Amino acid sequence: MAEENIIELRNVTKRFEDDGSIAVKDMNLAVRRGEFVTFLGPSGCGKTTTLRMIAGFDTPTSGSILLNGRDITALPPNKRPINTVFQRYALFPHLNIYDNIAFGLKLKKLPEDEIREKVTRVLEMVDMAGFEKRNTQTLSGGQQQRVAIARAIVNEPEVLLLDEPLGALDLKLRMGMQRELMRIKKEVNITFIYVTHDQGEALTMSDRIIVMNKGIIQQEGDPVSIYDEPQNAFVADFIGESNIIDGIMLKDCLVRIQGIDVECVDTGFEPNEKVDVVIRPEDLVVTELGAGFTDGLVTEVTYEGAYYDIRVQAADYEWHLQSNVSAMPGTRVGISILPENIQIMHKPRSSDEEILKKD
Amino acid sequence: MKKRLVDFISRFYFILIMIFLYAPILVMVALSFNDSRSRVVWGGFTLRWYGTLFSNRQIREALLMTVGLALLSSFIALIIGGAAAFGIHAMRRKGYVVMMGITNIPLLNADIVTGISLMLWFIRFIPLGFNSVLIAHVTFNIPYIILALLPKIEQMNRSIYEASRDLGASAARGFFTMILPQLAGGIISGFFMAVTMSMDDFMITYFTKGAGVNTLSTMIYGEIRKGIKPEMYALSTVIFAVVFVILLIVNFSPANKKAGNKREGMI
Repeated sequence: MAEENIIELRNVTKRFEDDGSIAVKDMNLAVRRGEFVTFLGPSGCGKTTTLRMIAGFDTPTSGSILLNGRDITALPPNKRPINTVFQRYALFPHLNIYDNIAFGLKLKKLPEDEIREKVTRVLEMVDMAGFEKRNTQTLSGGQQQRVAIARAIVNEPEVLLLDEPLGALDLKLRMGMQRELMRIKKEVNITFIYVTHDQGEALTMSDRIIVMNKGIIQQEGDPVSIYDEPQNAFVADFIGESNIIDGIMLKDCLVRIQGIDVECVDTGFEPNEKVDVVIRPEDLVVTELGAGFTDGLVTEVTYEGAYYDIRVQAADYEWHLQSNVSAMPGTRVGISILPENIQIMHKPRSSDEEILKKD
Repeated sequence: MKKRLVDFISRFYFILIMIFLYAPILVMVALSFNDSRSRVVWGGFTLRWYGTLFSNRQIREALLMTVGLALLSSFIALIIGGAAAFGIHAMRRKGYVVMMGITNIPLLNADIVTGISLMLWFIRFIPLGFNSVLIAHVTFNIPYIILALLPKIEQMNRSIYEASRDLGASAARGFFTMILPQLAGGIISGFFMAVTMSMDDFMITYFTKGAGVNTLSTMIYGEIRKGIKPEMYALSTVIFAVVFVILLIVNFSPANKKAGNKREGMI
């Protein structure tokens, strides 16, 4: 039962009628009950449109959306057991906190004392007990966010949609709210579908990340596999920072980068296939001259607090390293890498179709 | 020294403007209380002309017609113009510019052109009478409604409507509880602007009305051709007072103040 799909998207395409632009292209997706799924991508990648179609604010041009196996494509938002936490909170300015949260329950015509009990309980859950009579405008951004979450989950929806809910908060508050959200998720046991362009947020909270670009799913998987094994240059570039460099796969476990043969662990490529080589900056190590796979000139060192951000020019490529140990700008150093930290990817056949081929 | 001179001139200029604008109206108001048929002799204070004004059946009917026509045409224009404003708002840039141009033409067009062209149109299709005047008034009222509503629609917070739908409100409920209150200021000012314009109009009414239909302005025009009677001063004073009060309501309505939008005040 735990593995059943609560939301399913089947061949969903959204074309905006006014300018003909395609926001989502033939998307297929299944979200399991109780899962925390994140749509991650740059602005305009179709993630918010997908969320709005699940909520019912936008209708797919073609394809269907299923909830518990039932087609809900044509159902208006008020008929779906799905609630949304909006980007800018969208609290009702003319209602106080209590009435904001009770809005959905009152529409369901629940008895007054039951509403009161539920509102009190949910306010405690989001750590806002005692704020019932307050006006929405008197709250800070973080507090408004908590009320927005409370207003949605008090209806006990089957799915909670969150549209960049932490986007307007400052960094410190955002980190705190991430932990809060995960705690709330555990307490209410509702399926969360989360939209963000912040990869840190996605990696921290999600069970599964759907990376999107140009209306197409680029890769889906758990945070570790998304980060460690990006399947194309877009994902590698978007998630974290990466060195992406051209290479030639000579044979299994041997790749040629800038004329240097480097050991790796990837197999299954054509002999002499042209590939993208992805190396995370934190996986590169500064060594003695000649001790690594290549040497280069240190061009720039920036102190970032937790690490040094180092640029090393080797032949025609500037390597990006993150290291605990500093290096002297202007000196020559070696760069080394462990074979398992090299990620080899097929070159996309065309720049437009960077779609992931699922195996 | 120079500053004081500039101050004096600007103050003098302002007072001059006020005199030219309002002195004639004040004279008319004064004459409406003048107990004499002469325009140059003060015969003492009287409410006589107001008395005859309201006992005159012709004037009463014209007043009723004017107010009824203004309210009805503004209400119809509010519905049509409101729908149009939402439609224009949803348009892309090109359609938007074209529609706003079309909206502005009747505002800038000379009343006589609008009046005559509507008349030509009406005599082909419907008999001139109350209906033709009503349609004419609705026609020229729609742009005022659109101009008052469109900025409000543009400023509107749409996400609270979506939030209400998300929490279980029907489309109608969401519209009435979330969208309409946000537009209240624009609706009130647009409606009263239309009422004022309708009551104010002479030219278009004159060309599109049939026999027997008279608003205050067309009636006064007819009366004045027979010679000016003091009742007309009283009547004009009443119209001025009504318009003045409406202006005050529009400018100081709480909905308008909250939005902090001063543009609606500029009728």
